[in-house]
Amino acid sequence: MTAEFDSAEGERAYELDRAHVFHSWSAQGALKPFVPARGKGTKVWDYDGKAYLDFSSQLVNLNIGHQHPKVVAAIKAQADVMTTIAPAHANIQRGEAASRILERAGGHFSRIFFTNGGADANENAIRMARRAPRPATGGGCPTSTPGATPTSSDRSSTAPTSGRTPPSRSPSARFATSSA
Amino acid sequence: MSEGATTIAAILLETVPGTAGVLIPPPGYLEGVRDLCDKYGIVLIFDEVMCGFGRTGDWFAWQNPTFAGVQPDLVSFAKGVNSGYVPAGGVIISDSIANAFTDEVFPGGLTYSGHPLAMASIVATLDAMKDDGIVENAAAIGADVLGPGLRELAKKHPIIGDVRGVGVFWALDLVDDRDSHAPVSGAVVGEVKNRLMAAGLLPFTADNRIHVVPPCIVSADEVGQALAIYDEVFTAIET
Repeated sequence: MTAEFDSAEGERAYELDRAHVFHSWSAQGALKPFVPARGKGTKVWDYDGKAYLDFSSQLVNLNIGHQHPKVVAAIKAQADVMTTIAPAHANIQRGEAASRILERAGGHFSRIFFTNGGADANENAIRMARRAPRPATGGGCPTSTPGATPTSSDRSSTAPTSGRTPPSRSPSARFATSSA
Repeated sequence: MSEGATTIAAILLETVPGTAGVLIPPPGYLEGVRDLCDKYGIVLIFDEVMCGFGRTGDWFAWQNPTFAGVQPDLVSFAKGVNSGYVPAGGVIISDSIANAFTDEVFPGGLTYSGHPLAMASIVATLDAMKDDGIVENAAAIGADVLGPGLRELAKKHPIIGDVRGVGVFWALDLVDDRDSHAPVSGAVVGEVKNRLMAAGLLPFTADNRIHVVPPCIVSADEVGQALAIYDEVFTAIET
């Protein structure tokens, strides 16, 4: 497999990153980013061809594993048809995606608002809750603010500090009943 | 609550807090939050960005009867919905909240909301996860292989202060002392991380923890290889 890997490209990827890329949740100085070259299923390879079991799922997002062929094929197929549309228009893939999510959610759910990621999903969920009538009493919430943009990071109980520190509670944060 | 329940529009919480340490809610906790919301007319939002779409061995963590089983009013999601192949997230909206915006304008949106490449990848991902039994695999791996394996590691290695998790969503607390639960230093975490990488495992670390969070497709054989690597590295660190 080593023949498929270009270690010179890996070195250039690292050098370009350290020269020009500003990383999230990090003090920039001491970073030594890992440089993955390929992925397949539960494995990733670096540019020297060394294999790693990906027990991070990247940032705990890769539930279906790297490079699932059906997902890659679907992205390529849609790219050939139409790569982008305005949010106001209707699109068959958007409707199919929404109906599949609702089918799995079940219960009293009926619609999906799509965003670009998790932080803006939380931000818009908060906005919906502020604008909708109170469930039990009806009538608008007193804190309802037109155009409010509560930021997702502000809801976190601890501000990020230096180093690679995602919003997190203390190292020993736990439910009181958790077994030691 | 001292300022009055009407000053609170919503309670937002991760059904299973993830980056904070994979904290499985104790029995009754989420039911209690649901009851408070119902009593005071507060919208309940579950953040399922990390814990949704297979991570806990369920389509959604709130559907797991062993620690949840209550229904929220809104759900935020991202990550597992298409595994991040193209950036996407969203909000699952209850019928009653959706109906509040039948005649009222919802004042929010994004240019790339419902981007067709992201949407196509969601459709393919959810179909493949269903057809291939990927969520069921995550549940079975957690119950039969990964959970028992990590608990065995904790018996052997005093550096592991606690093991928590479900499905393919686990955390190990690394401690200097099990009784005080004093966390190991950042230098120790850094050394564990470097040794895991050298042994061929890409880890996820947060504070003094290792989060053991493989893809939902992980096989029992791959879990076995990973457990052997963790075992080897903890042995080296402890000596």
